[in-house]
Amino acid sequence: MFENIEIARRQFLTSSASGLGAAALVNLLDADGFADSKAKSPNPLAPRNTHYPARAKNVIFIYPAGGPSQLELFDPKPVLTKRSGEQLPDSLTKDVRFAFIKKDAKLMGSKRVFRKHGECGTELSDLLPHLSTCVDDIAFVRSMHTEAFNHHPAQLMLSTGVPRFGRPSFGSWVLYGLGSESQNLPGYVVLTANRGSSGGTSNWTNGFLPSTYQGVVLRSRGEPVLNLNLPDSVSRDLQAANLNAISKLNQLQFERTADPEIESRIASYELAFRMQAAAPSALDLSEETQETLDAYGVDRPEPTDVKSQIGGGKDVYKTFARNCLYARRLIERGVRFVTLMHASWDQHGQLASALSYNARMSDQPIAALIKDLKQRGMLDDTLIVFAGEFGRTPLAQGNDGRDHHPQAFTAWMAGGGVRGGQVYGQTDDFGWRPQENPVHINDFHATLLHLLGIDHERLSKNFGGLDVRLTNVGGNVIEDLIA
Amino acid sequence: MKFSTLIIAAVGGLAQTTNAQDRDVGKVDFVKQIRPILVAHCYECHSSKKSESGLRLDLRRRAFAGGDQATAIVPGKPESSELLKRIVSKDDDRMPPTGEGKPLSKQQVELIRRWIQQGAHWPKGSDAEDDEFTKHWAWQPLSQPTPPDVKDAAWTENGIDAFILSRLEAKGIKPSPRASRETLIRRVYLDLLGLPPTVEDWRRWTTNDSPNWYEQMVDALLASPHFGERWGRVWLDQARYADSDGYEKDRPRPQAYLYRDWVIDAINEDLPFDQFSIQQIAGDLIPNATPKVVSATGFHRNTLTNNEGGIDREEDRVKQTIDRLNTTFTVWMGLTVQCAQCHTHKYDPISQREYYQLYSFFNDADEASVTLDPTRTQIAQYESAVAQHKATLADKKHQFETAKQRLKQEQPEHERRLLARFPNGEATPPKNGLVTYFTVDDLKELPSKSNAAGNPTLAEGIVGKALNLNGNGQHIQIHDGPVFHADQSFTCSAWFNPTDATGAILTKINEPNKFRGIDFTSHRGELEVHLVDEWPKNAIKVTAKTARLKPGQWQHVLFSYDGSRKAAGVNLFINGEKIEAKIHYDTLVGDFTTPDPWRIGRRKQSAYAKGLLDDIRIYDRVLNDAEINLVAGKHDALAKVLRLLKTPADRRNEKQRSQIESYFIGDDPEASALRKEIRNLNTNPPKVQRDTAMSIQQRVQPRETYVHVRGEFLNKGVKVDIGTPAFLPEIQARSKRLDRLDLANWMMDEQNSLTPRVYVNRVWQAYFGRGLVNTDADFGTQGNRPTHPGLLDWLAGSLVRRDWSNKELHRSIVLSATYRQSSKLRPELLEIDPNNELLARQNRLRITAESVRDLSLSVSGLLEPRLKGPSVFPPLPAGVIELAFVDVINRGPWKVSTGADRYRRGLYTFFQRTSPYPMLSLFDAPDSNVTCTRRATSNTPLQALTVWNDPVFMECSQQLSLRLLTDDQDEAQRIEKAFVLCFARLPQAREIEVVRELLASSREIYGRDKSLAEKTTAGIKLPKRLDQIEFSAWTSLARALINLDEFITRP
Repeated sequence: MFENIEIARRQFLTSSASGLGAAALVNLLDADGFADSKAKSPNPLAPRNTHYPARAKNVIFIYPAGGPSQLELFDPKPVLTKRSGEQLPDSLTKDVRFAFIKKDAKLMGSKRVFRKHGECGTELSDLLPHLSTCVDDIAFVRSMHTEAFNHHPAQLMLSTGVPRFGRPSFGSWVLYGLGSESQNLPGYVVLTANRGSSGGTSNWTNGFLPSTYQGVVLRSRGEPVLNLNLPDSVSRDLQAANLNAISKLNQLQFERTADPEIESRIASYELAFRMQAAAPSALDLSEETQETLDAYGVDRPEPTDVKSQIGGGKDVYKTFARNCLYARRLIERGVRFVTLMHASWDQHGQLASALSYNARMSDQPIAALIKDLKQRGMLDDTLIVFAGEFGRTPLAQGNDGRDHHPQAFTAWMAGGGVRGGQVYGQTDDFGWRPQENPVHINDFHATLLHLLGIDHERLSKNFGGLDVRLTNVGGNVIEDLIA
Repeated sequence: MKFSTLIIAAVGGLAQTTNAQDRDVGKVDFVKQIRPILVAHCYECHSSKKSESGLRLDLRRRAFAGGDQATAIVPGKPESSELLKRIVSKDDDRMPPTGEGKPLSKQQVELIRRWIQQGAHWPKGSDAEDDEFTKHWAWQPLSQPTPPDVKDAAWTENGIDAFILSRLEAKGIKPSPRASRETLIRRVYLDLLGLPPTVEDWRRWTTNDSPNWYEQMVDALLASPHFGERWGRVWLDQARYADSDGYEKDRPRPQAYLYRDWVIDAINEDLPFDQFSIQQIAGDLIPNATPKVVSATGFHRNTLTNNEGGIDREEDRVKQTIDRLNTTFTVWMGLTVQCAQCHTHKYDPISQREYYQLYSFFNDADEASVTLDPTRTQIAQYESAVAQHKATLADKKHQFETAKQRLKQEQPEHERRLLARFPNGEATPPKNGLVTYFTVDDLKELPSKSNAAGNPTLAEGIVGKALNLNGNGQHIQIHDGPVFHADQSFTCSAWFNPTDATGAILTKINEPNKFRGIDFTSHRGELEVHLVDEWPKNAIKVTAKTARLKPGQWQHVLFSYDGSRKAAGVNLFINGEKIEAKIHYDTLVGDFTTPDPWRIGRRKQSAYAKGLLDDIRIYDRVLNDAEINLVAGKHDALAKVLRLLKTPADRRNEKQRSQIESYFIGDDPEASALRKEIRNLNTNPPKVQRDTAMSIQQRVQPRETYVHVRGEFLNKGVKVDIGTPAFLPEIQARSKRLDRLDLANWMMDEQNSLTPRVYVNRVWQAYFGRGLVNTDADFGTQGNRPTHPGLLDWLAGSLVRRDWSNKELHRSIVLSATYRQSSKLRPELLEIDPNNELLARQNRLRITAESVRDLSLSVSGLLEPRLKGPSVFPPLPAGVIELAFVDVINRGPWKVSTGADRYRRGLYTFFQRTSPYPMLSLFDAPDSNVTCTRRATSNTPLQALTVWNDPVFMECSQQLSLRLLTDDQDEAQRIEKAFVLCFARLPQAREIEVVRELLASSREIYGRDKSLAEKTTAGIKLPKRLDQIEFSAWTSLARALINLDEFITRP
């Protein structure tokens, strides 16, 4: 049974290499301006050459949706703390809009304690004891700013480079530009810890690119990919018999019509068949040592001393830790881009308890991921990015919350060619605006693409009369972030 | 400040000196005197090379349209003309800018000033000549080409073919042979209906001997209502139709489908495309528009709505307005106007100012709703409701008459009893069992052992004075009131005029001791009775179900308890009427005595009443209804009837008789209920149900529109007038101010060649996989040129000439020989024509996402072909909605439709924007957030997994298997039937081999593992002669067939 598939597959490869499909498809890619195919393959996901030598091959994008508070996590502001309770000068708030609070809201300093860590001496909050041990590998950008102040538009900005619908997401662009190394798994995988973000699927959309490039959600409960499991009434050998017949009948149709699309279809069914075996195994943690499992904290119970339902519900600690470990396993198997979504960082209130809940959920697994990749030598070509859609105001909302703050926030990156152990950019004394080296989302994307060996101005596709790119009409590569 | 003063000074200064000069200087000649100045000093930045700030001075209409910031030339008004202001400016906005040219001389400035003063005469034909923008093919009027002569005229079926063949012949290429009849049948069914031919259809068309069989088939399909579904969906992509708001909250739009219904109807009725368009763009402005026509503007309501907390409403409105403009121009005009949102268009002659002039058309619209005429179903429902109503009314009246007859006979007995109860003819509340009675007329004379706490005051009462409580705990305590045990019956009553709808009426309760006691309270106007031993495990709680006390009104409240320890033994009354009660707890087994006093107006610690209380009574028994009526002050009717009864029966007049009769009706439960029902039926006749569709309407007061500098809506630039871009034909206003209807008329005007070109190109694209203009949404200078310009104009011209008939356009394409060619790839042409632009063959096309579903349902016999109506919820894989935002999740699970609605066509599937139906998205259905004029076609393993493993498709395989096995046929016949159903053709020998091989291996596997066969058969009613293994093997085959490339490909 399985031999037949191999035969069909060999036939497929032979016919592709010499066949019509290859010519037509490569031609199409040429037209799109990104033709550096390593192999002249009809497979739109075939790995491709980069514009420059790549520093990183893969990306793990940790996406704390909602707007994590940089003031409690990454950006210490002693002056702000000293002036808690005062109003901000009008000059600062003049042109600023708020979602919920008013301009006359009072300044609120952070109650967290910041200490220096590592050789570089980067200051981090006491909410992040584990990440604090990794600071020498991390570049923190404290001067991020974005263009939208509501969640969904701002998430689109972070995901697609513009605060509007219709554009491909970062991961889709990377897959479009670099193809996938994985024979058995989708090239762009999304893992979410419990409930979804307000942006929903638009955070991993292929936009106007073919759906080949969309993020595939690997679900942490039930089957990892929709319809990955065989129906109850079908066994693996039945499926193989089925695939065998499908391939043969498709092959006959190909002989009649010579349409290369049929070869792609045969390939898709074969990949689907392999994926049915490969995806569950990628998510099978029984292959991991207890030491690794403990390092990520995959069996940590939910804390009982912090009560928070807004953290995402039952078992979110376990799910988040598992997702971090899955990310490594997926990258190991050639997946190009992994997004880790977690959707509950919108602390208009309950800042103290809910943020602490989230930090305790994510700190240990993220630090474990960095160390694990490093130990396996994978950190050199894997980029880890941590960024939410915006930050939170230095002004208080109520007595234990902060409003949306697109003017200044912190993101960080590590691995894959990043010059770690640094803080890039500074905000003013209140953390209100970047004071030094502001980094726009387009700059952030441009830099990440650069690390992947991609010129952000050349990775484009004509749509609606425009050469559209991830960095829209902006984007400067921040050289200082690159090792 | 400094800068504007300067301008005024400069312009003012000039103005002073001009009047005198005007008299003695002649008319300025534009061509001789002005244009040379503009060429020398301005063209570098303001002509075809560049149009800085959107301003061009080489074209008359563009020059007068002005730049992004202001109007350059206002004829007759030099002082308002930005051109003049800028050339005389002493500030850094002087033109030409420092370093880019010398300032104009005084004489030159003076010439320009005078030219403007004199009316800025710019003769026609004096525009710059070498202008690539004005020459761009797409904005030229439609040429009226005749189909070219071709050598092989016999090949052609209509004009289309001459254009196609002529190019092929020029290249020495022969067209492909005609596709087989079987292929044509399937091709046309999939293209026109999005559904496969049934076996009967297939037989009908394969055996039709008429030379016109093909035309007959095409005409039959164009007349099918499924045509409107198939092509309606193409339009819905462009209209970015969805069933929810989008963004974070993504609330459902239960009425959105009415727009979808409008589209399906319009296409099926072949509403001419100009009307189809005008109604959607501006149906609300059409004089005497029917509600249905107004509902066509639902097109504009498919924009997203952001309901996130903290959203800026104006920002969202601006976003919607921009989307309406961009979508309208992409869909009808194939223009990328959106590029001019933040800055003047880089490639096409659209300035940012012109963009906001267009924006103004949509800025004058507000969202509205329109009540539609009732549908046929709704009228039928109404008529049946009327009939039902009439019948019920007649029936009730009949019953009422019977009851009245009975009462008439009983009346002497009732009269006797009533008189016996009230021997002296007086109607007062009963005194029997009244253990506590508190009239509240004088607080100094409280009953013994009572005290007024918190110094309450008195106010005007229902009788005499009433207790006036301030809500801060003022109340009366009665220390020697009765003590009731749980097996005793009692009644509590009072008059209550609440200021605050929450407050205790009469209680004897101790909250700290597990709420033990008796509690009669109003909670937000809802009467509550608690009888508690230990809360909540040993207690009764009963509340009013729907009746609510109204603040600021006197109402009589009463409850009685029958000593049964059952919640059902508690009855609540308002104004003497028993009200429906809701039982919350019915667990009382113990007792509810407490040493606490009775309290009027509060519990021990809570529920402080605010308002007036009067006439508090406690009885140690349950009162009957008549007594309750008396307690509740319904003295009048009784007193009156007692008076009337004094007149002996034989001496009463008609009026007296009827009044007495009426009283006894009211006293009789059956008759009074019937009387109420009849009144109710008379006052509430059935109403026609109507749908309310989403629409837009014109504002009475137009909004002022400004340029949004850098596209930022808060950053207002210059104010703009409503208008259309200068490079397009001029627009005519029907009245003083232009509006959307003018815009719609302008778009459909025969001057406007873009609209028909763009439309025929989109239709063409759907039939061939690629438009004559490949960039279907960009007919601007960056777009592709048409592969067959003559054909494009011929099709566009034909559309207009045939009164914009959409079906005629489809018909001519489908009847063409070009369309009917084989789609077999021709390797010899790959070099010359890799994208098949010359159309020396047809293309094979993957069918749409919806069709993938529809075909599977159709061949398996599951499809419910019902047209239109609200969206449906086919089974959704678990864990999909869970990925949406919490609000979507909180609205509850995807409620899977029951019955035939599970099997409706894909276009009726509820489209939740943030969590679209995965099967549709995987097969490239658009996300509906922005307009989609052309779907991508991808080919992914996830698609394979879906059709292979999704339960919906598994069910299709099972049903297809059953369908194949039901007839008494042999294996070969069954395989034939399978191929006809799935592919509209007979199988070939090699295919039969593969199929038999799969059947054999499946039989073998199921034979080995019978549990698999059992599972395959689960829920299926197999005919007796069929065994599970055979059924399963055919299911396995069916599953392979619907997964074939051929199945989801239009041949």
